[in-house]
Amino acid sequence: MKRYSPLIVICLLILAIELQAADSAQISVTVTLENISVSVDPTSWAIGTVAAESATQSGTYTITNNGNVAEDISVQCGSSTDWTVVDTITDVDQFKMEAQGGDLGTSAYTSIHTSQTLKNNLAPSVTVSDVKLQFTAPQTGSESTQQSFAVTFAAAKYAVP
Amino acid sequence: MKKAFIIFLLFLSSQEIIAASLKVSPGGFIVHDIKPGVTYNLREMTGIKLSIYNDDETTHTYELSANKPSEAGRWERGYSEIPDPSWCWFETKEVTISPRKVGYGNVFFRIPDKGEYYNQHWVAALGIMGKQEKGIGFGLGIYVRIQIETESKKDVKQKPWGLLGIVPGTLTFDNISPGSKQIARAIIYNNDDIAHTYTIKDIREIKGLKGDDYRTRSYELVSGPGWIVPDKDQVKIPSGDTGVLSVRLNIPEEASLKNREEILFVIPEEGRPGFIRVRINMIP
Repeated sequence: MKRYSPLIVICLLILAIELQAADSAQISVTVTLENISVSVDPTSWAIGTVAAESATQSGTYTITNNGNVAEDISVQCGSSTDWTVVDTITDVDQFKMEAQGGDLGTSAYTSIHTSQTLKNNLAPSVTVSDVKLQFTAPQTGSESTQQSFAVTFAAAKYAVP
Repeated sequence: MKKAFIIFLLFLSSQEIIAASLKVSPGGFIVHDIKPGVTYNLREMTGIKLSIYNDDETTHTYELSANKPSEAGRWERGYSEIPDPSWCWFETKEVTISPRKVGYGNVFFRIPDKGEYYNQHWVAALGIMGKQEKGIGFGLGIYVRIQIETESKKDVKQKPWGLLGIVPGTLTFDNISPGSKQIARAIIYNNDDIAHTYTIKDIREIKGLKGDDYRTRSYELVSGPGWIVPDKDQVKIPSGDTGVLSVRLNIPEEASLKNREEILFVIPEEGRPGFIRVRINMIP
């Protein structure tokens, strides 16, 4: 049986204790009793069957801050399995989704192929009740099967500009 | 030829139209004294986990991700975007939650072991995003920002990461008694390729900022100007150079023995600001 020098054993023990200490470094955390909550009503838009390159407007949607802290609300549309959401349609299998209301204003639609701020500093229990969407269908020649995609309303705690 | 091409599109199959709702708590938090090179399991070390409340009448799956805060909008002034959001991650990438139930997200993070990553104030945005499901037209998502402050350290050989670096990130006055007067110094690094003039302001001088978004839980913000006094209002630093900011501590004779903090912002004439956290640890 191998015999180990007491000095080597002590060194190994010290090393093990230091490694354990490094792995369990303590941190402090500051948490506030805030929650972020958001709701949308209604939850859907049944667009139905539409012609190529046509634009379809939705009804009005209401976004509510149900949390206990002011929130920034953003909106973004994702692509579907066969179609890609874009700012400007230049090819087949591309579509546009735009939004208006809140800080986007109601005079024009803004593309939401990337995240757009819908409302900054929305106070608790306050709603944005003038949100509308506009969908522009892909060009002729695009994939013509049924498509599903989602518009996501996301909330984050309000941050001062 | 008439364009008679028809595209079939369906957003929704359900006929029932009700509001959808999502709640996450806490809405944000600060982790202090993060040591580069160490892996942190937030729930194991602090008991904190993200509680995700599915307030709907249907089961939902949520995708959990870590992101740069710019992907989610604005973030707390004085903090920089985390250089690489993959330094934060969830234990699982998805969580499925039954109607009216709560699920949890456990957060891990590990900052690479490099000297330049000490003294940093960063933000990451933790995304809890409703996964696209057949028959659901609108998704809901929430971003929880995590303010990550790495260990404050004076004796770092490498210059700090970022266009603006401050060493140490936290100035600490220990064993302070009422009436104490002391001085501490921080070095400001202009890592930008142009010269900058930085203006020094405390948090109360900046409109709209709330102390609770910056204060460490066990500290109170100093109650007014005069306790922590910078030796200058502005620091001009050439590109690639450093400047020194001295901070004088003046504790009133009548001050209580509560530990206090000050947040001093270092604001370039253009570009994102940084800040120095100043801690006053009174005699026990």
